Amino acid sequence: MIIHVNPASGIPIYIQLMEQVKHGIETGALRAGEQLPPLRRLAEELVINPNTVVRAYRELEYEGVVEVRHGAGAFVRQPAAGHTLVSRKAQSIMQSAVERLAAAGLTEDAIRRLLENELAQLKEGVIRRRT
Amino acid sequence: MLWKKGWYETRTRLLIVLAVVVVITVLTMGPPPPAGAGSGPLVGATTIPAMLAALLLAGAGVKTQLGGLQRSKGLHGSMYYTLSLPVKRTRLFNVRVSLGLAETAGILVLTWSALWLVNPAIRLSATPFDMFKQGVVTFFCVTVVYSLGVFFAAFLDDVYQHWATIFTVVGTFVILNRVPLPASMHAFLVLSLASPLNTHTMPWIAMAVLLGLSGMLLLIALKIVRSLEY
Amino acid sequence: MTECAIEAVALRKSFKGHEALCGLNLTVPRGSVFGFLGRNGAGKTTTIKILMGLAKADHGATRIFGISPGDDNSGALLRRRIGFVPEDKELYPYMTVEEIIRFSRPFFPQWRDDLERRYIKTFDLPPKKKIPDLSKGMRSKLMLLLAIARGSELLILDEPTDGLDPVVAEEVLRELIVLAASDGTTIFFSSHQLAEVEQIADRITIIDQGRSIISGELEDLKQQYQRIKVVFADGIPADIRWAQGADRIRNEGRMVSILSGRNSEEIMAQARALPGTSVDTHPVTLRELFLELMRAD
Repeated sequence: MIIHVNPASGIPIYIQLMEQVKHGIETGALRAGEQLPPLRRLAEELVINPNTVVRAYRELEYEGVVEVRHGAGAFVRQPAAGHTLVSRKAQSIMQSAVERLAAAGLTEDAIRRLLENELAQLKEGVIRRRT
Repeated sequence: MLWKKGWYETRTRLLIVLAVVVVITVLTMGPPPPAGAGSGPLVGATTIPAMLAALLLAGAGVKTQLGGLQRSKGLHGSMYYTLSLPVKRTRLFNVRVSLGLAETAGILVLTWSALWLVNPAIRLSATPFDMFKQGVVTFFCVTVVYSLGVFFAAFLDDVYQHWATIFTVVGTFVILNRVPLPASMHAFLVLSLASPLNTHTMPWIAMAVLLGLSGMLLLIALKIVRSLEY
Repeated sequence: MTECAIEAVALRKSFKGHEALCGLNLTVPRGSVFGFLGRNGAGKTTTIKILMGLAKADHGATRIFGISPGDDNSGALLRRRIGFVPEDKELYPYMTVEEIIRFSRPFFPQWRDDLERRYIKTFDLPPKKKIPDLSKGMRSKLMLLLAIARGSELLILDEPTDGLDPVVAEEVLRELIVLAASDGTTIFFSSHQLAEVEQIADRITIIDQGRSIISGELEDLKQQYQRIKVVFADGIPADIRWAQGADRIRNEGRMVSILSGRNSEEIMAQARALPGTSVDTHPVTLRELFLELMRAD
């Protein structure tokens, strides 16, 4: 699996790594049970701080995406039942929404902003419900 | 390794000074002194190259004097490397000064040997033991000049250090010639009237004074070097 | 061992009437790759000189591995554990590559022959070439070899990739990463190359006018700082007071750009609650953060 990060993008590198791993799992580049690139090798290849990779793998483990086996490395977890089904369904929902918005004349940036706004409102809704 | 490095950095200068000193000494030697003329000319013959050597060695090359411990950065960025080594500045200083003194002594010995070989009359006019005493005494005088050079090198730049040393030495001579001092204190007299070649004794007090003077100059130089900031 | 690699407290240093450091604090944990950033003249090199014992602070305390760097015995022994590459990468001009290695080795009882061999090979250093004949890149690599092969636990590097072409710079950075990953060597480096710092540093301090203005784990800082852009359809209201944490506010036309260091969510909520606004948030790169912080206070 080829991983690429942009250190100067403003998005923390560990988040970029996590996104790429998750995307890899969704597209099938990484299958359940497969090992993620070894920590040191990845850091040296990308010329990034090894702690960044540690953090990414640790967060992925926390989210249940991978499991870290002591001394052996990080391995993709078996997905929960129906998980792949959900993600494919989600992909089709997103696809049709984007197609419809594009057909309505919105640009890529406009669509992105709309989405971010909606996500932010969702998050605020969650915060308000919590407090 | 510090000694080797020091040697490498100073040997060219040393050879040049040696060549200059030997040549000047031999050329200015003049005819062999007539028997019984006393050791005046002999003393002169041995002193001049010594002082010349000291002046040249002390005056030439701040960089090589302190081996990277001098103040002016423009001379060599490599001093950052030297200072990043796990060696105290005191040790760096000690090695360099000792090396310099050893080189000075070396020049003395070689010049005298040249004289000895070239002028057989010298062998006749003084005993080897007296010559040895004279040698020691001369070395002490030369050490003072060298220490003066090191002292100036600690806070002056290359050219200024050179002239400061020469100026101080010449100035001291001039002053001493006018100010009457008890003979035993007049350290530089040991190079002429009070020379062991004449008195056949060691001028201990004068030597103590010379030693004290050198030591003081070197200690002050060391203190300055230890407080330098880059 | 839990002591910090480097600890500096309230450092003050003036020379020639100019106050170079005005109460600088610095904490570099062991094993970190620490980026020390600042404009020219901000005090980076002065700080490094104090750390190496080349200069003395007027006030304040410095400790490396718990020991004060100075010219006494403990200070000299401390330098066995530190590899230093200064800004001016100069070495003795009359030595060759192998001669300076041979000269340096006896000073360091923990000299690593394996690392020496590795770097000669990886950096392709010609052993018999005289140092002044080396290219700038070669000289930087040689100095790095000398700093690392001595078995140092801490590297202090002043602009390590300065003047190097991108290929050589990447080589140097990769070797630093390899070192950090394998030996847990602490790497403290000052740099203007913000992109490189973003690549390899896990912690940074930005210093300006002799003081540290921001400090912490890089990834956290990048998450913490957000740029919030608010466009007011009917023009920016004159009486608006932004919530706490809105650090750099710039008004231009109908848009307000806010750099927020904390409370981003509160500020965004505040912005969305106002009539006729469209709110966008963008992650902040280190370069943007640096430039924004350097803007006149």
